[in-house]
Amino acid sequence: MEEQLVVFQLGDETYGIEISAVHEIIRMQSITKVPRTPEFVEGVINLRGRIVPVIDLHKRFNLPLEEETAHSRIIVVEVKGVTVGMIVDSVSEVLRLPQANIDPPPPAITGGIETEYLRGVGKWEERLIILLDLDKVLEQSEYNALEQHAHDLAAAGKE
Amino acid sequence: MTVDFDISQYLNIFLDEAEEQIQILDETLVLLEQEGENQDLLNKIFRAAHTLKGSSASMGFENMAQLTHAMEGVLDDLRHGELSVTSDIIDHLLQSLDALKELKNNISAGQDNGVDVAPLIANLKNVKNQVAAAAVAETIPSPEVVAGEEPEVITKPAETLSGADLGMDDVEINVAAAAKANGYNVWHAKVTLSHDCLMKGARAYIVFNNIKDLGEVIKTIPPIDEIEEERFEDSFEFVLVTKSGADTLIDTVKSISEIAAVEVQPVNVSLVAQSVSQTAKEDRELKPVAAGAPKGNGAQTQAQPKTSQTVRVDVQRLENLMNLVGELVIDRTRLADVNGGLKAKLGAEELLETLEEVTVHVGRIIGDLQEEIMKARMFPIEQVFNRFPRMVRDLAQKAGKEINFVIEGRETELDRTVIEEIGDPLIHLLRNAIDHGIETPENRVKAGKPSTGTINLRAFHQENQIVITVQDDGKGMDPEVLKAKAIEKGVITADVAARLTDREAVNLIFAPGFSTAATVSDVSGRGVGMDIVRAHIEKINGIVEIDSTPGEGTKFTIKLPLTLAINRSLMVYLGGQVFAFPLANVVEIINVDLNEIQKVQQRDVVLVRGEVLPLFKLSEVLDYPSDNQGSTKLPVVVVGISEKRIGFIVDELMGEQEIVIKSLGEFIGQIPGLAGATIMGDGKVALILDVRGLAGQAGV
Repeated sequence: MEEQLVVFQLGDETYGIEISAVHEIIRMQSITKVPRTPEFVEGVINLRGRIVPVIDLHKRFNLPLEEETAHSRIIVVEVKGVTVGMIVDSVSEVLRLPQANIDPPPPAITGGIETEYLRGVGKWEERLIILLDLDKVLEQSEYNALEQHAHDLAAAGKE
Repeated sequence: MTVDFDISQYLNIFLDEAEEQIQILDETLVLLEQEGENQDLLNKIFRAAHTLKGSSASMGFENMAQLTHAMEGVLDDLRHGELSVTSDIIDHLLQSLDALKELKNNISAGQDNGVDVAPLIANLKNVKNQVAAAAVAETIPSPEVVAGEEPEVITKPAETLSGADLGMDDVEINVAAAAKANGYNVWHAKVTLSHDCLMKGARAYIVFNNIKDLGEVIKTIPPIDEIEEERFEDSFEFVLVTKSGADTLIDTVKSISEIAAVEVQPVNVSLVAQSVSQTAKEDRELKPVAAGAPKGNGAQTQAQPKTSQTVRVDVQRLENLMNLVGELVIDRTRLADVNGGLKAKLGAEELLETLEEVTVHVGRIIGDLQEEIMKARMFPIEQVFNRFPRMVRDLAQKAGKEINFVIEGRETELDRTVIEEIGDPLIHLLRNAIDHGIETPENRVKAGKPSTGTINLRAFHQENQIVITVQDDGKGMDPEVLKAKAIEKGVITADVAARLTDREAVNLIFAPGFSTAATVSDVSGRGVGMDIVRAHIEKINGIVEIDSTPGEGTKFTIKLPLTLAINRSLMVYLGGQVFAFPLANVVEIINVDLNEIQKVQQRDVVLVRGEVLPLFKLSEVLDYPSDNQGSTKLPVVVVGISEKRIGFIVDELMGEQEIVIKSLGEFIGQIPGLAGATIMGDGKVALILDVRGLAGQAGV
């Protein structure tokens, strides 16, 4: 048993997501900022006539922000029928990783990213690949609730 | 080799058809009461009841079949002048109709009971019996008008068909031969459905279902799946292996309604195909001779109105088409942009000219396509209007008022989405007109008006809008009375009231918590009416206006967009991005000088033609960056929400454009102040503003 992963960089860390969730990988393009959305939502893009929201994974994981470069990409994923673009610093490769090489997430693996977003850690040629749990990454209930709370506060403040 | 039918697939067709027939009954019965004995109308009503009887019987919905059968009986007597139209009879019929509606709803919920039809049937029978008793002396059989009441029957036991004539294969012939050897009969039957039979497949189903008890069908012409799909003309054939005789078979088939004729012949299976086929075929093609009722009125039966051919299409499919066309509309703009850009860059090139030609042509075709698909989503407003005459009649009766209800422009077409939303507000306006508008007959006569009031419901196209008016010639609205009421209810203060114009006073009825009825009736006057009406209409980007003259009547005018999927918008810049104001909400665009802005209660306002206009910075309301670099001339988009006017300061104006509304998607969800997004000619995304939401955010 092995898993096919799309491997990408965020800062100096290497991440992987299962290839089946990946729709396509596109170059950076102009993003329309949408008001009143969480900080990590960069805005929306036009993906061949579809409106697709784009999030910045650095902001999502509270990692230090990186400059946009010629290598920056948007990975368009679809999870549970919701299509979202994720900004990454670069996409390196597609890997086949044997299941045996994947360990459960250790308690505190890196400086930034919280373990709840992790599915595990893969080892490949002496490199560590952080496997993301996309369901959790794209979970909205958490920030929706926060948003709602913020709105309620704002509304209360107005009256 | 049993041939079986699946009934479930017919249920939806049946329900659609039942709905249609019930609609027809609904309209026509009320008309009948007004117009009295009108033969065309009676025929139409009879046909509807008859069709409903037939289809409900086919589907095995006994309650509905029995009730419609009883209705049909009374209608038939009316049609033949043996009964005359009285309001008593109409009442019975209307009550039965209500029961039919309920039955239909129950059926769609999965059951054929819950309504006690027995008393209704008894009432209808009573009506009929009274006549029968009176007319017992002159028992002349009434001539049949609708074919299918009495099927023609032809049996030709003398002649036989061979199995091969019927296209039976060897296996089938062997089965038949074996059966025959065991003392079974093998019958060939040709069943002709009546010309106006609407659900042929279902009818065929019931035929096969009934003869299943007699024996086994071993062959059908055309094949059973084609019959199921209604791929046959008026007739179909089958071969039945049975112990029963031809008479039983004929009786069984005859007991089903909408059967025009049955021909039964024995099949000789021992014979191998030979020259007999020629003659047998001729025999079968012989015109059946009328055996039952005289066909004196045959011509009338043939004179069915020709209906245009239609196809039922899933609404979702239309939505998809509309979305695809939306894409094309966007690309049309892009194409034109690219074309313009190339031309500016390369100058006059032959190839570019060709490109331009093609661009223009494609653009025109996309425009036509858009229009056609929009039309395909349109329904005549009839669908909504048709249920009103009955409602008005009932309400008028209840309120003790005499009302002549006139409907104009039933054929006016509206977008499906608009149709769904417009029904409720109209019901409310009509109820109000009956309850509060039209006076009682005594009061009308006192006021020197005819005792019968008139309510006029009218729909028509005007430019790019649909206009619907509800007008009554009742007592109208007195601004002073309205003001007094509003003060009493605490809607406004006496101070404010004194400054209101008559027009503004009349508009008070749209204020939440306002009701003008002196007594609260069970239909309107609950004080939640008119503000909801307005909210409903504004939800579909419409507006509603009132004109009222005391003593002469009130007129409500509703203006609606043709469609909700595509709209014209005013595009503006804010923080380098483009935002769209739906043009329906935009009142005007003004330029405001920075030093014209004044503060009232810590809010920015500006005086426009003597009126105070509250001003908001769009960037502040949306919490969005602004590019405004200290310019003193500020572009302001003035929007109207109900009677309110609000100005939003933007960075820059861009222009008008036709846009397709797209959702921001589940991930982002609903954002207050935004209605969605659209894709512009250059491929970038613009956000569409929701003016109501913005006003809410601004705290207006």
